[in-house]
Amino acid sequence: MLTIEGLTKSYSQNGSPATCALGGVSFSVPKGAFVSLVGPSGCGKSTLLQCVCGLMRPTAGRVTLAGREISAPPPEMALIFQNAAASLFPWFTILGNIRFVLRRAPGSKAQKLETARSALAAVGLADFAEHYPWQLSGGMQQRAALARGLAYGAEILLLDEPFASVDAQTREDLEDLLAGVARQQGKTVLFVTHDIDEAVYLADTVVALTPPPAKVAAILPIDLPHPRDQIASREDRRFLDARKAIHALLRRV
Amino acid sequence: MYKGKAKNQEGLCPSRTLPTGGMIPPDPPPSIEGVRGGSSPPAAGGLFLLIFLLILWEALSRLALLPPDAVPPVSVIGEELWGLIISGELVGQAGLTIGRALAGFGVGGVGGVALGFACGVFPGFGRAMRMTVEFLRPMPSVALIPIGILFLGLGFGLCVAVAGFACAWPAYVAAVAGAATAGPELRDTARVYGLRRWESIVFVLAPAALPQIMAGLRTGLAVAVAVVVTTEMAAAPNGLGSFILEASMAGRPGRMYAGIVAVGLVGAGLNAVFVALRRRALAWMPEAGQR
Amino acid sequence: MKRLSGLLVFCALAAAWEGLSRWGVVSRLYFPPVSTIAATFWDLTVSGLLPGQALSTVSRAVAGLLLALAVMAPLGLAMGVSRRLSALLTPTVELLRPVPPPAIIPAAMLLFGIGTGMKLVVIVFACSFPILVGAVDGARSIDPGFRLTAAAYGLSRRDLLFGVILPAAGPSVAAGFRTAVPMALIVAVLSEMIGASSGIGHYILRMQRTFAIPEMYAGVAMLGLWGLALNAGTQQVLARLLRWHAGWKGGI
Repeated sequence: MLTIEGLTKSYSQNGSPATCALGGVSFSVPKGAFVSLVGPSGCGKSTLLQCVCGLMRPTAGRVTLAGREISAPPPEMALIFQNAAASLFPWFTILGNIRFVLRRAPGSKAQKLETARSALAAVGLADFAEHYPWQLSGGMQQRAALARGLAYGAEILLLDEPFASVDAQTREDLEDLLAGVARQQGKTVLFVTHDIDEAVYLADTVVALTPPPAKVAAILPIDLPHPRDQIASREDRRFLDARKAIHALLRRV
Repeated sequence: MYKGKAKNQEGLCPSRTLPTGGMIPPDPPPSIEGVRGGSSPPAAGGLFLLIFLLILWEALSRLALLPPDAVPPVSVIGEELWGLIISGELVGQAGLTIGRALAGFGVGGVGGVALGFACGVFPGFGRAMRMTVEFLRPMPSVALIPIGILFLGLGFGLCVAVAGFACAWPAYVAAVAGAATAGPELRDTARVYGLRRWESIVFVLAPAALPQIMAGLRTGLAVAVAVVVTTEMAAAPNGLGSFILEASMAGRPGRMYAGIVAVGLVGAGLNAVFVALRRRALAWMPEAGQR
Repeated sequence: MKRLSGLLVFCALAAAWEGLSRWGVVSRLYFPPVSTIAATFWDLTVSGLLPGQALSTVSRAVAGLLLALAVMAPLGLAMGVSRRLSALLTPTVELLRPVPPPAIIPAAMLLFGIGTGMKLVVIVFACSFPILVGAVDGARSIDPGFRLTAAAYGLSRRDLLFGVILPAAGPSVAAGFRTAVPMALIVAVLSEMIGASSGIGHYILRMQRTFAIPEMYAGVAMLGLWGLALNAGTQQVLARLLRWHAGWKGGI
């Protein structure tokens, strides 16, 4: 169980009054759940994610994982950035990128290589192991970043608008890939997006945030059967209702 | 060429995405022709012009419209050059110059990169060094020759010291800028995946800095050759610089021009070798390290 | 406190020099105490000797720089815009470019003697290539969209030159010019060391030969200050000219 309690973050630039990005956000992510975090752009979603995985110190409040407070990036979490091209090391091949993040992991070299290869296979990039990131398309780069997170063996995946900069078709493929892999491997997922449809389509629970200073506007369970389907699920009454509710919520606040 | 099926237009290419803002002399393109156009060969017109200029030189000198004791005909220079190469005299002098330039480049390049990278990676250290560095950096290297003579005498040590000083600064500036090249995503990725600080420096910050460092070193190598030749002129008993100056003093312009051509060849040759090495070191970059 | 660390290190180094020299750890003849050098520097500056010598050197360097800029920037821009001109001149330029500028000093001496003309020729030669390459690069890297836009709105060639090509290529020309500044100074000093009877380069070398060591260091310091001033001045001017350009921060 990942718990976020009263998380507050304000930036103060010397002299000027502090800008408050997060104004006391609280929610929790049960083990194995897929939680989408949706909110208007610029509402501090990325900041929240950075605080959750210990990259950034919150001004107040705390993040706990199974009761342990998080102050530095824990081995149980992997963060996947919006811009895969900027987060893949251009001097390593795709395989090299994965093996690099496994440096500190236990196990022999051969085992780690095996882990890396199976992660690549899971995202359908087995044939591209020896390619450099810039040789891949945007969608494939995002898959590679995902494979890196999977191989790391973290039980919690944090994703920061990972599909925001790929075309619509690729995006649907990636959504289904993520949902499938996460279910299959029993991952806990915290998925940040500004796209309400995407949030609803993927999640068991949607957490909607208000504009900054961000607070939780509502927590909605999504009652849609798994596995989901790009056409059927999106036409489902429950999908449409949830979508409508969140739209109304975000417009009101 | 790469074998990838898909090409990413916005692929990360540090040297391209980083606004150098003119901090380092932007890596001089391999040649004026072919930065962008690439493979188009220099048109025949250019070669004709070059040949025409050389013939003009020859004629003007033969007709004594140019003073022949200052500007001998091209053919005479060519003959002289050939003779000096055959006799091994020029090769020996060039060897001395190359050895000094490479030694100076090694000392200054390593020192400049190490200092610059450390200043870039550890901001506190950078602040502490800054004033001293900014005081030393604009010092014209030739001004140090007289000081160097006091301590090192004339010859190898002096050339290495002055060239090392001079070529350290392009390397330093490039390394400072290079240390800031790795984007926040890359740094954060290393942290998220539990890598230590030193691993992040060695495997993230350093490779990201490499393209810029290579550009700075390339400038540094050209500087090293120029400064060694300079130092040899001002204070060395041998080497190409000394050879050129002596020939000039002795009123033997053919020898002098042969020496100048040799210096040009040394500079161009060292540059070509360095570019080839750089291409290997940056093989992971799109277009193999070319801009 | 953070800001002062740089000053602290600098002063510590100076103090270390002073101490080592005073206690005779290093040769006092070769490494006179900093205070002695500073006193000499002050005397020679007040008497007008050092500033005078430096001024003649620096004015030659600046003249050479501006001359090279006046010739090479237009030529480079033209080469960048016109493929034909570039193809015509490239072999000749590429042949001359690898020659380290100091190497042509003896040739210039034979042709022009040891006067100001020789020095100017050498300085112009040294400054030409960075400026030329910067200008070619700048003109060539202009986004074709700019030129198409200009054509679509029916701008004259003149407007194209002053409204599009010059501003777009400006930062690159400026970068080339900045590379040329220290070169100009170095070559100016060197040409005085090899063949001249005036200028700060000549002065420093003469002081070394007559073992007037504090005077020599004072000369070097004066030259360093001029180098600093010339770089800073260039940066100021270029930063003003290129205010509008987001990427141009003037460097460190």
